[in-house]
Parts: sequence; C-alpha cells; structure tokens
Amino acid sequence: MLDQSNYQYFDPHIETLPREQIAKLQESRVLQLIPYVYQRSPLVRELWSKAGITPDDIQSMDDFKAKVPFMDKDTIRAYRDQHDDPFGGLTCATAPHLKGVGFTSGTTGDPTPVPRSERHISTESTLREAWQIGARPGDTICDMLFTFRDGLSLDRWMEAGFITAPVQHLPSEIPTFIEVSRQLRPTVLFMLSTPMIMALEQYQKETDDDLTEALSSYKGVIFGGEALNPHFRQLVESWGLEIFILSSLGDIATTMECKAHDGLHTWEDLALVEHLDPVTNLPVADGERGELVVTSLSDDVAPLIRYRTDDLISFTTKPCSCGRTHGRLTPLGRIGDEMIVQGKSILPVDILPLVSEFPETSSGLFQLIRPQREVDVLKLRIGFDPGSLTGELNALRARLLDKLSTELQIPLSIDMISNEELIKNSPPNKIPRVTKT
Amino acid sequence: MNNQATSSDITNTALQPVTYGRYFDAKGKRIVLPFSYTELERTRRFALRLLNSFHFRTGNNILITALLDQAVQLMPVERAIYAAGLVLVSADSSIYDAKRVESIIRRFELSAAINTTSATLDGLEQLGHDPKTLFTGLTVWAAPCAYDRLIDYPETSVLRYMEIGPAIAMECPYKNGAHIDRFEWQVESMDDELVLSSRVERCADFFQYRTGIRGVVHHGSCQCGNPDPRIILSE
Ligand SMILES: [Zn+2]
Repeated sequence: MLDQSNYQYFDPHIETLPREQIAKLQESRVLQLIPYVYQRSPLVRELWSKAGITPDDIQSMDDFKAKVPFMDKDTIRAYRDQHDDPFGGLTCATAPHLKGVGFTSGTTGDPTPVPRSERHISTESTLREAWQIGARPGDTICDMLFTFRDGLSLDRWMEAGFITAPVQHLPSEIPTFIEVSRQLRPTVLFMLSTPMIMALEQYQKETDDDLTEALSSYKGVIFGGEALNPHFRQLVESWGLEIFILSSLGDIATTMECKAHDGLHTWEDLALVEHLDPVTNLPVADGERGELVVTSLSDDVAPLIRYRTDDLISFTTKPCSCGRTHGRLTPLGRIGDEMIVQGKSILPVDILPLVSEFPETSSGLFQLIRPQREVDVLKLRIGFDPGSLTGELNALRARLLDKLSTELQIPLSIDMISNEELIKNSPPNKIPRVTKT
Repeated sequence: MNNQATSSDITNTALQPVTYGRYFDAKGKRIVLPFSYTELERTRRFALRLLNSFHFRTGNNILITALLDQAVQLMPVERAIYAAGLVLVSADSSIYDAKRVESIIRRFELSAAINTTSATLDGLEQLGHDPKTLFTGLTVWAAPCAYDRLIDYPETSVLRYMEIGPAIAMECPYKNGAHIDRFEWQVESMDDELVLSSRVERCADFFQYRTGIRGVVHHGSCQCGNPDPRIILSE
C-alpha cells in the first residue's frame, strides 16, 4: 500500500484546482444541472415561471447569476405547506433512487428536509477535512456528531480508510468519550460543542482525571454549532488540543478551517458559492460582510439552486497558505439574528468576547431579546455561575453594563440569570442566542 | 501500512472494522464492538428478510429514531430499507429531538417507525402531544423501554425491537416472538438465559456468550414464512 503519511490532501488535484479550472468546472456543472432540475423539481419550475425564465435563457455562468431566482427556507416551507409535499418541491427523484431524508438543524418551525440518495454529499467534504487535520488510512475518528438526523451511515468515512467510533453527543456520555479515546486512540474528534466543553470541564473537576493524557491521540478536534467563546478555546487548548472550526456550507456540505486557521475552506466543486449584499443582491467585495448563497453542484436528488442561507459571512478567494485554492469564509452570524440598535448592526458574535471576559460569566451564555429587528435599547439576558460570584449580583451587572456600553456604544439593559436556569430548556448542543421574549 | 513487498499479500485476510459500535453486557456495561462491512451486509440481509414479510411498497416512508452509537445495530436496518425501495426518515431518539419526530409524523405519511423509545414518548408528552394519536395507524417497533407503554395503544401495531447482547431481534407481523439472524448466531436458552455464539467470522467473536436476557427460543416455521428463529422474553 502507498505510504500517504506525507500526502497533504485527500483529494489533491481537486483541492488545489487552479481558480480558472474551478470556474470552468462550476460552469459545466451548472449548465448540466439547469435542464435536469427544471424538468424535475416542481419548486424550481414554479420559481422560474414566476421569474419568466426557462433553461434556454441560461447559456453561461453570467446568465445564471444574473437571471436565476433565489430560494430560501421560507420558499421551501411555503411550497411544502401549499402542496402538502414534505420535500418542499425540491426532489428531482423518487424512490428507489431517493433513499432517505435528513433535516437541517433549524430551531424554529418545522425542520427543513434534506432528501438524498444513498450518497451523502457532505462525505466528500468531511473526508478532505479529517485528512487535513492529520487522519490517515487506518486511523480512528471519534464521531460525536450533534444529533443523528441524517441516517447512521458510519461507513461514510470508509473511502479514506478511516474507522469511526461513535459516541453520543450528550454531557452524560463524557465518561464514555474518555474511555473510547483511551481505548481506541482516535486522531480526530468530530465534534465538540459549547455544552460538551462545559461537561468536560465539569468531569475534570469532579474526577481529577488527566484530560491531556486521555486526549493525547487527537491531532485535532472539530468545533461547531456556534461561535467559540475565547474562554472555552483556552480551556480546550490547555488540554493540548488543536481546534478546527467547522460550519455548514449552506446545508450542502461542511466547511472547515485548515491548519492555517485563516477562514473556513468552502468546496467550490460541490457548491457554487455566492457572497451577496442581502438588500441589493449584488456581489460583495472580497473580505466584506455578505450573505452566503449556495447552489449544489453534485446533488441529483434535491439540489438547492441559489439558496439564500441567512448566514452572514466574509469571504475571500485569495490563495491560502495551505495550498488549497477553494475560497474561504468566516461565519459572522445569522441575518435573522442581526439587530439594529439605533442604526448600529449587532450580532451575538459581537457580544460573546465581551461577556466571556468576566470570570462569573466566562461560559459566555447570553441571549439577545429580539422582539423585532430594530430597537432603541438592546436587552440582554446574561447567564452567570453562582459559584464564581464574589460580591453582589448587581455589582456584576453594573460591570457588564459598563464594559458592553463602552465597547459597543449603544444603550443596553441587562437581566442576570444563573447559567443552569438559562440552559435548562436548551438542546444539548447549542444555546439559542436570540429569543423573542 | 509500510509494506515493502512489491506484490500483494494474500495472507492478510482478517476482517477490518468499518466502525466501532457498542453493545451492553449482562451487567449493562457498554462494551466497544468492532464491526466490519461483511457483518453489515449479512445483517442487512437478515433485516431485509424481516421487512419482506410486511408488504411495504416502494416509496413508503420508514422512520428510524436512534442514537449515533446504535450504528452497529441499526445501520444494517437502514440498508435493508434502502434495498427494499423504501425511504428512510431519520431523527434522534433523545428527548430533545421529539419535536422533530412530531413534525415528521405530521408531514410525512409514515408506514412504520423503528426503535421508538421512552425518551421520544416523554419528549412528545412534554411538548403537549399525545403519542397515542400520533402513532395511530402505524407499525411501530418499540424499544424495550417503550414497549409496555406503546402496547396499550389500540390503533398502533406494536412490535418488539431489541438488542440481545451484540445481536438484534425484530418481530414480524405475526408477533410470535422476535426473529434473530440464524446464519449469524446460534442462539439457545440456558437456564432461561439467552446465550449466543457467532457462527461466522466477525471482528469480535462470541462463543456461548451469556447475554443476561431471560427468554426462550422457538425454532420452526412462523406464519410470516421467515425461518429465522424467534425469541420470546420470559415474564
Ligand atoms: Zn487553507
């Protein structure tokens, strides 16, 4: 067998494809996709007839970007409701080619369906990502995915020769995770979330177990679900672990940092990435804030076409020091989470580093109260650890208020609530950062 | 890994695991279970024999609720669903994902649900839903923790899905006990305890393995036509 220990990329020619080749590949895939989807997807046909276009109008990538209408979660859900179609008009295939339905992680309303064939598109991206961390054929990957809403499919790592060891993503399963890590010596952890880091910290305090030793086989741990609190980053790094931030590439594939930790690599052979001004729909300059809009390039079951993700990102196609040529994004938050406070844009990502600076609120648990997008005063609910409280709660509130008003330059009001109370009703992987009340 | 030979080596035929799952021993301890693609494929065929006695139709939607570390047990069932031309709908079997389960039942015309747990039932009740109404008209393979609750639902066809040590067993429409793969396992009842031996090569071999589960084994024909033996739990 070939010794691949020094092979830097899982899919070398694709991961380093020159930009002009990426553009050619995307154009040919888009031009093949258009008639296929138009003939099969009832949602696409409905959107296109409203826009007054047919596949004949799309002869180039420029045509595509200028003429093809957008879709978003609301479009898909509205189609689903009007036509009683659980797939939201997206499916281009029926059983037996259609094999399964997964769901997006959405927390509001009914989850959006992600129909698929036996193949999971995200397999292609996760293999490249685990390889980049340092996994090689024969290595074990500890699979601690949030919820298994996409089928079990633990053989999806097989194409790279990786072996999975699944562990439930639940704080109560930390002892199992430690045991599996010691027994099987995995090289990659896929993946950590804020609640799991808190549970590891708690486990360490209660058992005095040596986490650095227990987790020493990991060449990297993947973190996702929300922005990483600097306090938790420090904690995880103190166990000798290198963190790789991962996010969803608009529900098509995954996107993750490389070892340069300079943005998350998108996969432009799997998804056409557009980076647009959410109001004007015009392309945004390299490095600026814009909305991630994606088109699936290798999905024949339910391809998303110019799907508005509601994700605010900055995006660059400048070459990365790792040698890969695919564009990199930095997630900034949900457009739906953005608040305009007296004209100033505020996202949870702006609050997190400030709140986590204080020892009593270092867990960075907080919620923006968002009755509507624009408000005069930003109302925050901030979680604190009663065990770390040294003086009066009101004094802590005053210190937080002072810090946040100075840094953000907006009027604020703050409610304090214990961490325990705040996470009581949250799912095990994520604290809702924005709430109506 | 670093094989210096220039030709291939035909002596290296040990089964490679594709995943490390888990099973629970007689004392309830979680034990790591390496599992090969060969075992996955054999167990898929077992699950397909079982599904074939149900007359599901191409395109019928089947819900599997599970936890990620049940892959060794339920991945073969997923593959059997694919092979039968059915559509797999997935949700987590934890209390947190009950919302998704409710949405799936309301949105998708389900034919069956596999591995329904008490956590899902609790979660549905906490959200103010009546599981009895939701599961009306469905074939439901209940996990042992949920069986006694579901069996009272008059409009639901409730069947057993269970783990017997490293093996799985599932009931057919005739509910004469839960079928277990006869090619994979020799199963017998010793002092009213189910004891397993693997019959073919596995990553992890079992010989006269005492599962801690009390029950008897019925061989011979079942009305469903599937010759796999059936396990009946002791009261
Ligand atoms: Zn890079």
